[in-house]
Order: sequence, then structure tokens, then C-alpha cells
Amino acid sequence: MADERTVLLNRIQVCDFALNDAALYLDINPDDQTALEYFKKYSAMRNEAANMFVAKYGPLTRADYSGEGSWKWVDGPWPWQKQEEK
Amino acid sequence: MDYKKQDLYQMAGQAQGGWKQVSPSMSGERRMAAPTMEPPAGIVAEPAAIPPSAMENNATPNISIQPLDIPSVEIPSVPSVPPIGTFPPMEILPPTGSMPPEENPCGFCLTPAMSYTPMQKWGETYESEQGFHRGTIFPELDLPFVPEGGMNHGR
Repeated sequence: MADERTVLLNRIQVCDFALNDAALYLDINPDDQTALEYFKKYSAMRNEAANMFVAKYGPLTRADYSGEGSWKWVDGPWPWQKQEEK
Repeated sequence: MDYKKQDLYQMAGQAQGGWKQVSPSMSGERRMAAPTMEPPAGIVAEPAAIPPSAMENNATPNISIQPLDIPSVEIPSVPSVPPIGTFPPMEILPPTGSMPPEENPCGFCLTPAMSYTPMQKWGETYESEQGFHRGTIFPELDLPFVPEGGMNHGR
């Protein structure tokens, strides 16, 4: 059973992929409401997972710095590191 | 090959013989329109430029480029080179070998040796997990071209 950190990272990864694929479609069909709904749904899902991850496990990117007194980015593991590499 | 030339091919297929020249403004209007049997407005016949032999058998015009060192030899059957910026005379493609509009989903005459890609329409999508593992969220684009016959043996 994967831990929550891995589950959240997977969800973000899966949502980002779906968003990318939908964006390619939207590039040539910019007014397709079904596609826009799809994008909206996965965009919300992705942001929810990302916010949960950042709150519990630290920044996903350096842009996630939110004013703490310490630069959390250097506290490992980085998002791309597997848990056992910690 | 750009649209204008493609349009010319398309209209050439409808023209049922004879040489046609198209005004440049035609090409935009003709892009996705289904062809009609009547030549669209703007196509004008140019009888003066048509060798009678080409009219009869749709043969490839015998256009040859004169080497520079040969003094000009008058060959009556060679069409004159059009000024730059105008469409050259086109070979009229025979209708045989083309796919008529009613037999294809594109709605216009498909000529051989040209490729066509229909626009994608949003349909069913995979669940996001499945799409992630298939490499696409669109089942219609999930086309694993797995080589058969030995390329991937032993992997």
C-alpha cells in the first residue's frame, strides 16, 4: 500500500498528463465546451492534490514558497525522489 | 504542397478534361467545400493555351526546359511559360483512381498520393489513470503500433 505522499504525487502526475492531453485538443478546438469542462474538472482535481501535498510535504516547486521563515525547498526529499531515497 | 495547389488538384478532378486556370482568390473559399459538378465561378477556360492533344486524352503536357546553349528551336506543342505569380497550366488528373466525395468522409475528391487527416472530435475519454498508462486520454488515438515478426522479440 502506497503512502499518502506517493498517492498524492501520482494523482498530480496523472492529472497533469490528462490536462496536457486535453490542452493539445483544446489548442485546435478552443470552443469545445465538453473539453473545457473536462479541463476544468481535472484542473481542480490537480490543484486540490497539489495544495494537499504542499501543505503536508513541502513545496512541489520553488514557486510554492509562501513566506515561511525557512526555505523548505532544501528539506528533502524533493518531489521527484522516491520515498526510499530519503 | 499548399492549399492552393491542393485545391487545383481537387478542381482539376472535377474539370472533366481541358485546361483550367483559377484566380488566386478562389483557393480560400474552396478549402473545405464539397465540390459540385459544375465548375465554380472564377474558373475560366483558356482555350488559347490548350494544346488540342491535351484536351483529348488528358496526357501529361510535354513541358521541356530548353538548354541555354541551344538557340531557340520552335516547338509548336510546348505551352508558353506563365509569368511568375500566376498558376502554371496543370495536368488534368483523370477521375479514375480518385475517391469521389460520396465515398469518403472528407466531402471532397480525394486524389491518390496525398494524405488527409480528419479533425478530431471530442468523444469518450479514458479514466485518467488508464489514460496515463496508455499515453493518451483519447481511445481513438490509442494506437499501439506493435511491430510483428521479430523486432521486439526477446524484450
